[in-house]
Amino acid sequence: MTEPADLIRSYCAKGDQEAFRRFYRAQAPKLWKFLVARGCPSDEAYDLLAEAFLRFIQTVCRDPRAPVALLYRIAINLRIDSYRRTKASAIEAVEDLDQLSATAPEEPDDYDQIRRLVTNLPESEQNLLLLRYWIGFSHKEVAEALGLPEGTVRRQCAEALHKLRERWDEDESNHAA
Amino acid sequence: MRPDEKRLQALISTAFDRLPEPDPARVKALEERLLRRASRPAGRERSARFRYWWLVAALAASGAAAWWAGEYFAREPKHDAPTSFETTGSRSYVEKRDAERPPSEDRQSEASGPGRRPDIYRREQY
Repeated sequence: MTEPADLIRSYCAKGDQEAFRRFYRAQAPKLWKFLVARGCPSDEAYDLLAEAFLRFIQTVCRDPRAPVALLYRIAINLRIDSYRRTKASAIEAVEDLDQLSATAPEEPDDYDQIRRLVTNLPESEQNLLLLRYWIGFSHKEVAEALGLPEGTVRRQCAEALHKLRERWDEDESNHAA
Repeated sequence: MRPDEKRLQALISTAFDRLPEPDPARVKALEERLLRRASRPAGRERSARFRYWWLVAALAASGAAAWWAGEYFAREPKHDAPTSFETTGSRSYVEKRDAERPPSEDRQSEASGPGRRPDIYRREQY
């Protein structure tokens, strides 16, 4: 399977539209889901997806080494801008995610619980955990996407996981009580 | 039961993977729009345009530097023309004549007596 960076290099060097199409098809659905997971309403997620790819086209050929990290970086920044513009509350965002989850097929409680715990973490920690453990970025790629040093990403990932485990415990004890 | 780190990582991955997929028709429509925009990679186009701008900027900068230098040297103070003695080490005929002239000739023309001014007008004596 061709790497995303190879596809983008081919697109930038030869104007290979087929390479761009393959890159888009591989990344677009997951990026849309990422935006929704980050609390973006589903309709707005399509708009942000379009805007992210448009900006990506305009910038990627300057440095096509880490295109996926760049795409997520653009999308995260757009999400922050849109959040500030609409001044949507965190509660609304979580509700939207819960509505979407309700349409998914029946699933074990653990998945529902972990989604709720992650979406209640601060924005920066949500980005870290989702990019690292869901999108599957390496620490270096997460660092590029978030504009942080790699060491900081490693430390913050460990801290976020630790916090998640603590909250899991609190959640369990609350349910037991 | 409290999950360990590995289990937590797997849970995150699976839980968010289970979110609903986007509408394929909307994703496809967006793909068509993007491919029209992506027909020419913007980075290449942009870098070529920037190259021309650098050339224009360099030309403008060199023109400005030349203009400034011209202004600067035009404003330099002009020196008096050097005498022939300064330039050739020998005196001209006029300079030699003046230097060799006896001082009495000068005095005669300047004053009629010692300590007096030369007479310009003198009343007739009857």
